[in-house]
This record gives sequence, structure tokens and C-alpha cells, in this order.
Amino acid sequence: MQWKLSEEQEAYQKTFRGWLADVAPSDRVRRWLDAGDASAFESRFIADGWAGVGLTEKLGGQGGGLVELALTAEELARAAAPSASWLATVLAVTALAGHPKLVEAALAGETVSLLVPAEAVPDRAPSLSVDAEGMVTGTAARVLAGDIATRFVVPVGAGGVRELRLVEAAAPGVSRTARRLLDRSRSVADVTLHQVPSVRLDVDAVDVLWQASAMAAVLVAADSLGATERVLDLAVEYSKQRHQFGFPIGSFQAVKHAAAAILVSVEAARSVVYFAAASVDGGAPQALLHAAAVKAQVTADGVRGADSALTIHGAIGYTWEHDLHLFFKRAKLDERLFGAPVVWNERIAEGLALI
Amino acid sequence: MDLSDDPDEAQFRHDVRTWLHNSLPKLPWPEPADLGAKAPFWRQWQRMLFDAGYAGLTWPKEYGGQGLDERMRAIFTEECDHAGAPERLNTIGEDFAGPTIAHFGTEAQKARYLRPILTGEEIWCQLFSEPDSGSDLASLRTKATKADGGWRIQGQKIWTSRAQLAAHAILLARTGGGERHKGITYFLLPMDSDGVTVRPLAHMLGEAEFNEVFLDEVFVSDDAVVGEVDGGWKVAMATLAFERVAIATGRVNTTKAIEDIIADIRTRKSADGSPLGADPHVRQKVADLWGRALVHRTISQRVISGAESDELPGPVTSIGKLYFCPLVEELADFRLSLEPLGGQFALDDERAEAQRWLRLANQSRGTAIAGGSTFIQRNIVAERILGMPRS
Repeated sequence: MQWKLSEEQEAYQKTFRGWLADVAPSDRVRRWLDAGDASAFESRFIADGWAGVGLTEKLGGQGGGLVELALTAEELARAAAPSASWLATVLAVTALAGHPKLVEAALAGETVSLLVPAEAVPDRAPSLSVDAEGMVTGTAARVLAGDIATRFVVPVGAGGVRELRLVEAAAPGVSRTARRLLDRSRSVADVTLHQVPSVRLDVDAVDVLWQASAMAAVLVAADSLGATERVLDLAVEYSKQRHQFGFPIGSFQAVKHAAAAILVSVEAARSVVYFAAASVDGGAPQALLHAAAVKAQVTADGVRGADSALTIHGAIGYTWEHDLHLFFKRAKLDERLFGAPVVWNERIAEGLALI
Repeated sequence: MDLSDDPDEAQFRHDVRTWLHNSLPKLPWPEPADLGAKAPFWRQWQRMLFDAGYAGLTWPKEYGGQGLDERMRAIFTEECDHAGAPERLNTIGEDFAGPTIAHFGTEAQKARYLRPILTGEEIWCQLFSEPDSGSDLASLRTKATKADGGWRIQGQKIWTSRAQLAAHAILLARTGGGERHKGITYFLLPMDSDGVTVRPLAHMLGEAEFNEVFLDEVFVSDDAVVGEVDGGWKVAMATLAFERVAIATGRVNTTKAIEDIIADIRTRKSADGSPLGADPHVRQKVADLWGRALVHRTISQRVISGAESDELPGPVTSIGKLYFCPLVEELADFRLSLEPLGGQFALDDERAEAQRWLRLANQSRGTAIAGGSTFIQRNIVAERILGMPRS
């Protein structure tokens, strides 16, 4: 047994962090978020070769697995960088196995998204209906990257998912309404399909959705870890500069203890996120429970950490001008994205067979 | 990133499991609850461990240990918990004093003290805290004055666990070479020395587990000093670092605790006759504790992986205790909450299973205070790791 990132993984994290510092400094990120247009960042992300990291070569990626994807999620969150397109695509792209051209397009910027509500655990989301001619009808509210997706992977079937079908977002019968999130580094849209032509994807729908659920749990937790690292950095830095009563506020024990509690959350999260990523990749018997625990624990701690960091900052942290709110909102959304802690805890309870 | 057993780990686990299965029935069960009666029971067990080659797993071979790494110790502790092995009575000897002597001691000290720790012949205690020096350990006032061939020690220590059983103590005393941290020396003290008085203190469950220890002109010879005279602080800090690794390798197995709770819940019914495991509050609580036990396990593995690769203990070692203590408290409290009146009965009016959790609930409060209370740990983490200014 060994809890350790490999040398390659450590090198990747360092390189990607450096790239983000260069390409996505805070002032530039804020311009993209204010404009509501992440395409400049996304095209650079793809052009510089990051999109295939963590996806198998067999699928058309550059190799690696969920640990590498979790590193990506953590670093994107640390930069408050736009990530809806990336996250939606890595969760949906395994459904495109067997369609190398479509995978290639997805990794080249034609975002593909699972047509499920962003607050749902993907394998428990309601499915849409399909008729004998393959025309799909139904609605999914709040679909991640629903506003920018080129294609949707749609779970269909009466009384549970029977299969996954691919739909072109530009096809007649597709209507979508973008919803504006507080956290503008992610985006969702309500998507309605009315008699939309579709192609059946030749994959095991249950397996793909299970995989997407486990991946979503780990990657959103990794995102929360990244956001929590940043709120801690910001709070500690501020506590050393800000003086009251003649001393830096970071010398006061109340402030130290609050910061120490966030650090405990960060190190706990780091310990378990990469473990769960490896567990899901390795197909461990309890992999989904590991992913569930990570989603429930890490994202709940992330919200507490963000709240505490705000208190350490005082009024300046409450302003639009200060960067803290970027990470605060990111942590808040992460707690709810693809299943709130209470939902994932119930999933654990199911798995533990308490009755 | 692989937390499954390597082939050598799997083999070791298998061997340990088989040995425990065959050996545990040889003990005169039940394990006594009273500390005095527990000592001979434990001693028999420790001798069995020693004879089988399971004592001092991570200690160097030349001192009677097995020369294995922390992974094996973690596996061994895990298997002992699963098999229901006796409580460890000599944690100060095995986890504090032994590794410190092995690292800083003279050859004579190593030859004299290490083996009897492993055989179970000699239990150790720790004479660090004083009535006025708890969190602020460096303010300690117990004084060692140079005498012919040794030192005369005068002072009082307190909160000394198992001093009533101990053959030896690790002791910090002021030798006067400077202020605070600079003038402290680390001694090894035979507890049967003239002038040592042990007075038991009852803890909040009413049992005498820790003690006051009075030192009245106690003589120790020059060869009882560990490290340099006036250089004891450095040695003491190493002792505490060994303790943190020991805590990480499984002082309390939270995974086992939640598994026991789950097994218990499966047998219980709610007041209305429905299965307790169907209660949404119970389901949420169990899932939360299961998740946190998993987090604790991964933190421990990370510490062990760090220890194994000889890296300096990173932030995760220091935060381990801060994560672990409240978790153990909540595990025990939740399990007690399933008992009538929340298990709030005197120990002698409670059945053994509930007693076990009541003890754990209280011990965990003690653990959160011992070796640096939660608040002090947070100060340390904030100042040393986050670089926040000292008060």
C-alpha cells in the first residue's frame, strides 16, 4: 500500500499549475467571467493539449485516469477557471467509445454533456422517452454546460434507463434556456427536446452512468478541495497583513483556530480525494462508496471552510472587488453539484445494507 | 496511489491473522477491566507477542525488534483490532520511550532498556506535565541539581498514566543551562528510586488510571541522561513526533468502530418496531461516520507512506490528531446514544458492550487533551504550518 502521487502525476500537477498561473491570472479570469464567455480560455486549454489528460488512449485521450482528472479539477478550481465544458465532457465522453471521430471532436472543443439535471446523481436522474423511430422527447432542467454543448448524451427508457442516445444540440426540436449561476465559472441550461432525432450509443448505459456518477463525485470533490485551498491561502495572507488593536489579526487565537480548522479540512480532503480517484479507476468493490464519502465529506467541509475564510476577511471579503467570492461561490455550487451530501450519504447507507 | 496490500503485505497479514486466531484463545479471558488485574493478563500477551516475533515490529533488529516498516505495524494493529486482541498497556514504552532511546540513547541505555519493553517485563510512564506546566511544557519547574556522579531531582509531575505500574519513566527536568527550552534535560528514571511517591488520581469515570508523582531529592546517575545535558527539549520533541506516527498507525481503529456500530444497528429495531437501519437520521449519521472513518484511514496511510519514505513528517502528520479526536468522540457518542438513557450508567451497572463504548467516549476526551490539547494543536498548526504570527 502506498499513498503517493507518482512522479508523472506530480510533474503534471506542477506544469498545469504553472500554465494556469500564466494563462489564467485572476484579473483575466474575472474578465472572462464578467463577459460570460469562457471560449478564449477553453480554446487555449485545448490548443495547449490539456483536454485529453486523464482519458485513456484507447478512448482517444492521452492516458492517465481519474487521479489525473482530479488533479486537473483541483487546479482549475484553484484558479477559479471556467470548467463547465471540461467537466461535462469528461463525464460524458466515455459514452462515445466506439465513435473515435466524435471523441476527437469532443476533445477539440465540441462540448458533449450528459442530459441530466446538474443537481442529480447521473445514474439516478430521470430519463427521457424515445419512440420507435429514435425520436427523443423530454426535458432536463439545469444541465451542466447545456448552454454551450454541441451534443448531448441522453439517458432514455421508460421505468429506468434502457440506453444512451446521442443528440445534436443544433437539431430541430432542441430548445435550451441558459440559467445564470452565482458561480460564473460554471454554466447550466434548461434543455427541452421535442421529437429530436437521435443515434443509439452502443455502450452499457448502466455501466456508463455508474462510471459518470462516481467520476462526478470525485471530480467535484477535487474542485472543492482546490477552492478550499485558495480560500485558506487568501485568509492566511490577509490575516498577516491586516492589523487591528495594534497587531496582525493572524496573531489572535480565534483567527488561528479558524485557519487551522480549514487546513485540517484541506489535508483531510487531499488524503481521501486521490485515494477515491484511484479506487474508482481500479474498480475496487467499494469504489462507489468511496466516491460517495468523498463527495459528501469534502464538499460539506469546503462550504464550512469558505464561510470561515469569509469571517476571517471581514467586510473586504464580502465585496465584489475581492477574489474571495469567486472561491466561496465555487465551493457553494460544488456542495450541490451532482448530488448534495445528504444524497450521497443516503447512497452510502444503501451500500452498507443497514437493514 | 494504491492502498491495497502488496504481496509481502498480504502475506504478512495472512500470517498475523492465522497467528492471532491460534493464539488469542490461549489467554485467560475475559480481559480484566481493573488496571491492576489487567497488568498480568497483558504481560502474558506481550510475552506471546515477543516469542512469536511480533513485538517491536518497527524497532531495529539489534535491539530485539523486527526491523519492519510502518506499513507492517499498521497491518498488525488492524488485525489485532479485528481479532479483539487485548488493550496495549505499554504505549509509553513501545511508542515513546523505546523509539527515543533507540534513536538518541547510548549503547548502554539501549542494551539495558529496550528488550524488557518488548518482553513486557517493564512498563514505562512519562513524567513531562506538571501542575503549572501543561500546554506550556517548556515552563516546567522540576529541578535537577548536579550531585556527585549524577543528579538530584526535586519537583512534582502530574497526569502520569500508569505510573502505578511503571518500572521506568522518561522525565524532563530543568538543569539550568538557560531559559525555558534551553535549560531542560531528558532523563530515564527508575520508578522504584528513593524519593519517588506515586499518588493515584481518579479520572472522570472514577478509575485511577493517571497519577500525581512527587520527586523528593531523587538521585539518578549520570548515565540516565538521554542526549545532551540542557539539550532535552530536542529529544522530547522527537518523542512527541514518534507519538504522532503511532497515533496514525492506529491507536484507535475507527474503521473497526464503525463496522461494529453497523453490525449492531442491523440487529436493532426502532420504538415502532421497524428496523433501526431504516431510520433516515440513523442512515445519515452512520454514512457520515463511515465517510469520516474512511478519511481517517487515508490520512493514516498518507502518514505511513511518508514515514516509510523517510520524508520529514509533513502537515498531514500534525493535523491527524485534530481530525481523529472528534471522530472517535462522535463514534462512541453515537453508539452510546442507541443505549437506554444514552448509556449514562455507572461502569459497574452497565453491561460489558456498553461499558466498552463508555470508556472509549471518555478516553477520547482524554486523548484530545493529552500530548497537546486541541486548542494548542491548532495554535501549533497555524504558526508552524501556516506561518501565522505568534500571539
